[in-house]
Amino acid sequence: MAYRNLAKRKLRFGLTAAGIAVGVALVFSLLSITATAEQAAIQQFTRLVGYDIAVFNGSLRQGRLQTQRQQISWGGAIPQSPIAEYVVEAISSLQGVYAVSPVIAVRGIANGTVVTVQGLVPQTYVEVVGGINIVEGEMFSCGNCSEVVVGRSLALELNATVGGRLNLSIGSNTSEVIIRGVFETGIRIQEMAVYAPLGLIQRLTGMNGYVTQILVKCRNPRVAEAVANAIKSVFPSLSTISMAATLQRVEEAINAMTVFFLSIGAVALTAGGFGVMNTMFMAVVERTREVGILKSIGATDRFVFTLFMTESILIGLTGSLTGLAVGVGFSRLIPAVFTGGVRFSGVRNPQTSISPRTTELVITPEVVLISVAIGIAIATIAGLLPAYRAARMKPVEAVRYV
Amino acid sequence: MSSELIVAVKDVYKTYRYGKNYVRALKGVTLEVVRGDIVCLVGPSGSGKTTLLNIIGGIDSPDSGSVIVDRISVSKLRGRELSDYRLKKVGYVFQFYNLIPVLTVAENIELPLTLANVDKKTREERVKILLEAVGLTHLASRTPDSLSGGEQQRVAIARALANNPAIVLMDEPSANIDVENTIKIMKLVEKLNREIGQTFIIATHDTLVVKSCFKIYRIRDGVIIGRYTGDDIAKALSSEA
Ligand SMILES: Nc1ncnc2c1ncn2[C@@H]1O[C@H](COP(=O)(O)OP(=O)(O)OP(=O)(O)O)[C@@H](O)[C@H]1O
Ligand SMILES: [Mg+2]
Repeated sequence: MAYRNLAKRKLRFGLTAAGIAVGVALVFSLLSITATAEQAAIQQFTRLVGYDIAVFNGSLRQGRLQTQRQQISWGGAIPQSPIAEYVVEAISSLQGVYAVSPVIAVRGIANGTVVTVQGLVPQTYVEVVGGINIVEGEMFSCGNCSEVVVGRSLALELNATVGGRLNLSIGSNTSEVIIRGVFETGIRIQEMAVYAPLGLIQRLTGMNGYVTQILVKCRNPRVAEAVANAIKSVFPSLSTISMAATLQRVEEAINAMTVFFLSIGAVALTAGGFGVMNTMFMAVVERTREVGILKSIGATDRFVFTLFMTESILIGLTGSLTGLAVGVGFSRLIPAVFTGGVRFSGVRNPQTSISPRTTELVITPEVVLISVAIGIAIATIAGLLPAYRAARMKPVEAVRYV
Repeated sequence: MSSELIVAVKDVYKTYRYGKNYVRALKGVTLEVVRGDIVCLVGPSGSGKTTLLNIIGGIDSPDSGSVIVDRISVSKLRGRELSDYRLKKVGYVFQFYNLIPVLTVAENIELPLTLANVDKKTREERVKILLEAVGLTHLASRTPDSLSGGEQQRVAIARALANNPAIVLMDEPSANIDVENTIKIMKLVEKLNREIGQTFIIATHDTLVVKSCFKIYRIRDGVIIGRYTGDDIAKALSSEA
């Protein structure tokens, strides 16, 4: 009966349902955007860094620290104030520390191309960042020899192959090195890099006994803050950046975005709710006589209430499902936006040119359920008052109404 | 025919108020109906006929006085009991727009059975019998708006009979239909009265309708001013004219 009443006034039903649909589509799309953004951010982060804490020389000014953060993300490309090598030992003896790896990150030139040069100790570096993805050749194993591994993007650009030679310059010093392997991270900017033995880079930069960063992996990411504080208390001049804290900031930003987007959706849904209420009040008034007859022949208040509530819920259901469909369609456009923002190198074989790796659209069952549930809930709430009014109508007055 | 009293209205008063004005619709009405009777309420417009039917049917309540139908004290019923009374004891045929527009003829007749939680099989059987009784089997799946006024009225009668009510109330059954249809309707009323002993209370000022009545009550300005049976009816009507 409820269904037929709606079917009888298709246009009005459709428009009212559309009001709900807009809200649901909006809520769904916005929630999907934030979920996708969150995943994209976390993915990029975990791909970029494997360590928990990066230690720098704290004589850097606050302004520089800002750029520092940038540098970690991009692998650290600018020479930084040196840290004495004995600090590495001191940090590794702190409680909660799993592994420590000293790094010198500087800008250099390889066969005429500007690259990031990382001097590192393979054994500890692998422990701290969780491994290097060598796709061709192998990792150098010496501490001081003239051997390097290069990123895939760089190898492509330089047309370099395993076993080939490279002129690596840092400042005014140049050394000829042998390419032992090619690594891949999936992120182009990280792959425009040369990893070399720490000793070699110390020699080329003239920083014997010094490093620019110390990367720390903790036994448990949750103790990262405590370890960072311990480092600062032992070496007050050093500054630390903990990844957990950074990730937390990212999540806070995304949560703020979610709340903001949800409030936009709430406004749309409220409008849709008033649409339902308006339609249902109209229906109740129009069908006053019908209500009167129903009650006069013995229908209970509850029956009448349920009748009108069912109509509201049907509007909500139709609107929500339509909104969901529209939302899903619309959300397909989202990954393109995120992919456009960051260039990934997803090169699988050297013959093809660089193709962007797309961010997957995130549609979680929660988001689907939440948006549909909100749509139905709004319509249900909006239907309460009209249905109550219909249920409470006095039959005498209702049958008098024509 | 038995003379069991099925409706006893005693000293009923009803005043309507709108704003500062009062309309005294019923001013001490007393009326009795015996089971199996066809009783007519005759009176000019505004005399209180509809008000009285509504009070008997449990869709309006008197300010004072008592209404007993089939041993139930109607004026004391509330909420669900009242709904149940309307559903099972009374069949109401309104003057017009009796039917639910979105339901078919058969569904309209089935509605009181559904409300009374009658099982599907019994409902279907009952609807079939009722459709036959009012001669509308061929229109079962039509919707009300495609029916003539007389046909709609017959559907309403079938629906009123659905739960075997103690009384059927009809408010001006001939108001919106032509003479031919009025005769058909009253033939149906007489047939139902004869065959199943159905009691009817009919408000009207149509002589064609009055012809079928065993008893008439004349009402004016909310007061019963006369009660006639048999040959007196014709006399009463001619004096009215
Ligand atoms: N809800 C109401 N509010 C105000 N006055 C009302 C109401 N219901 C009925 N009345 C008044 O009560 C009086 C009796 O009305 P009622 O409908 O019972 O008359 P009736 O005999 O059925 O008339 P008719 O032949 O026109 O149908 C009329 O004066 C009417 O205006
Ligand atoms: Mg009337």
